Amino acid sequence: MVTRVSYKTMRKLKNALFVSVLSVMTSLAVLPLLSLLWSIGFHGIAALISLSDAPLSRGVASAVLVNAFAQSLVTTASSSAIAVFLGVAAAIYSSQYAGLRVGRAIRFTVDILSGVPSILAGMVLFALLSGVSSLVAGVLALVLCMLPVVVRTADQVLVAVPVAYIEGSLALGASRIQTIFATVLPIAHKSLVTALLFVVARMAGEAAPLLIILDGGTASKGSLGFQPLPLRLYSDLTHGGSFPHQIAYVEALILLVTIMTIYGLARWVGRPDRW
Amino acid sequence: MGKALEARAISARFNEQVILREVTLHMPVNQVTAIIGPPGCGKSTFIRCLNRLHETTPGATMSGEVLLDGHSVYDMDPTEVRRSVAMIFHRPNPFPTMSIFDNVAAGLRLHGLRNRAKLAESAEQALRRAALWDEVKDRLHLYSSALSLGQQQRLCIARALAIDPVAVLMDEPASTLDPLSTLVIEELIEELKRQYTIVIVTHNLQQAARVADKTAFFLEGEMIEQGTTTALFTTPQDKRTADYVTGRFG
Ligand SMILES: Nc1ncnc2c1ncn2[C@@H]1O[C@H](COP(=O)(O)OP(=O)(O)OP(=O)(O)O)[C@@H](O)[C@H]1O
Ligand SMILES: [Mg+2]
Repeated sequence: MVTRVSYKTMRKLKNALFVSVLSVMTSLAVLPLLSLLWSIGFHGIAALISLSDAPLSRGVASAVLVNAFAQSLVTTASSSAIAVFLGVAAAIYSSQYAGLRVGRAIRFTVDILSGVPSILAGMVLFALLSGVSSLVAGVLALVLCMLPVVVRTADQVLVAVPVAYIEGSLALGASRIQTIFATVLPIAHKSLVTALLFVVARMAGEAAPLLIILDGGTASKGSLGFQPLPLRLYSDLTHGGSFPHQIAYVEALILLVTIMTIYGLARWVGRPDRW
Repeated sequence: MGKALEARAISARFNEQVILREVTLHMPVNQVTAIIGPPGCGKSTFIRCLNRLHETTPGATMSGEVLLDGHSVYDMDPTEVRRSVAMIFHRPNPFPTMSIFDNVAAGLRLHGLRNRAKLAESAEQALRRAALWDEVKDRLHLYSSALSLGQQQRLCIARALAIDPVAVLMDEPASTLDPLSTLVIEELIEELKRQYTIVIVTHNLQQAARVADKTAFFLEGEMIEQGTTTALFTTPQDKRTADYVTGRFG
């Protein structure tokens, strides 16, 4: 009887110890994230208030912000559109048409490519496309970064569509293409859109490849040249002075809110509901 | 009207692994032919060769001939073959994104029918033939997941019948169903054989005995014995068949 009680207590103790270790580790992982959100939120809103107090700085700041945001929107939207179109097509091929061996080869290649640092994509395009407009080069650089991730993500989602439904469609005399459009994509569309939005959200804040191509740090510093949000943020931060710093915080806030909105959208699309 | 199916020396492989060896079997019109045999002996693979579904699996190949009403299905367009030779799978697989109605209409739409009145008429007919109409006529626009498993299987049968096949292949169509739904499906098979050639794979020997006119026994990729169901079950010629039908293995 005595041993039994102590055994139970031991187990409870061990359990408590384990749970507390886990909580400490979880907090260690979450704290930096929360402090980042807090600091950007706090400073961003503070900067926003002080900028909008003075009419002159308000005018300049809003011009800068609107310009940067619009450019981000254009680059992200157009690069996402291209990357999603090409990437989903490639994923349809690898998941529905390619045999086992070819499919594996495609996945292997794409995995390696998606591991390539994004700054290298910028470098390659910079080398290839000197002289081309920085908008085009920037968009292409983002496409290059997104493409492997889009292919991999879409492939995973499409491969997960149960073969039973695909065969159900084929058994009705549907062609492969009809099966893809009438069965595979409708079944996969929710997870596909969700997964792709996550990829887009990550790309919206991507600065490294653009940094090289658009030469954001030097040429157009302080001007209203071609500078999407992440780049503008970089140049304002490195510019020095309190006005650019305040703008930088607002830009960080906008970037964060935008990305969180896309994430929210992704979660909403992927909500466990009907098709 | 149904059309006879005939397999002539069908061999099938997955990559290097031989799954079926030279199987020859005649499946007559307006009869139910049952395929029995222990798990993994190639029953599913066999019927998947009949409608050319086998070749859609990566790494799967086959040789030999399948004749539909005397014409080789390997000379026909595969989509045309699958349209004429319907297949019911062991687990009901109605399209989850579609309503009950859209499931039944799916095949018709694939083949170009757009007229709403005609679609509705054909869908009703198919649902009646699958003995499901009375149970779903008031909720055709619900998702198919609103149905019980047995109803879903009959929905799949309706979906297959809607495009007027000439033969129906069934791969253990009742293996995931409760006894009552199984009975409904068996009665349905009785009814359907008037119009179609039916081939049914089953694990359940009683089921084969109940529904099949003809039975073929498969073992390790070979067709060991075939004959009328009564003959195969009462006077099997091969010792392995005898052992199997008396429950000594498998
Ligand atoms: N996609 C596949 N790739 C490789 N081998 C396969 C594949 N599908 C089936 N096989 C193999 O083919 C053999 C025959 O399978 P099949 O499904 O035809 O058997 P079955 O008689 O229908 O079995 P069960 O009664 O379990 O349904 C098995 O050994 C199986 O492992
Ligand atoms: Mg099987």
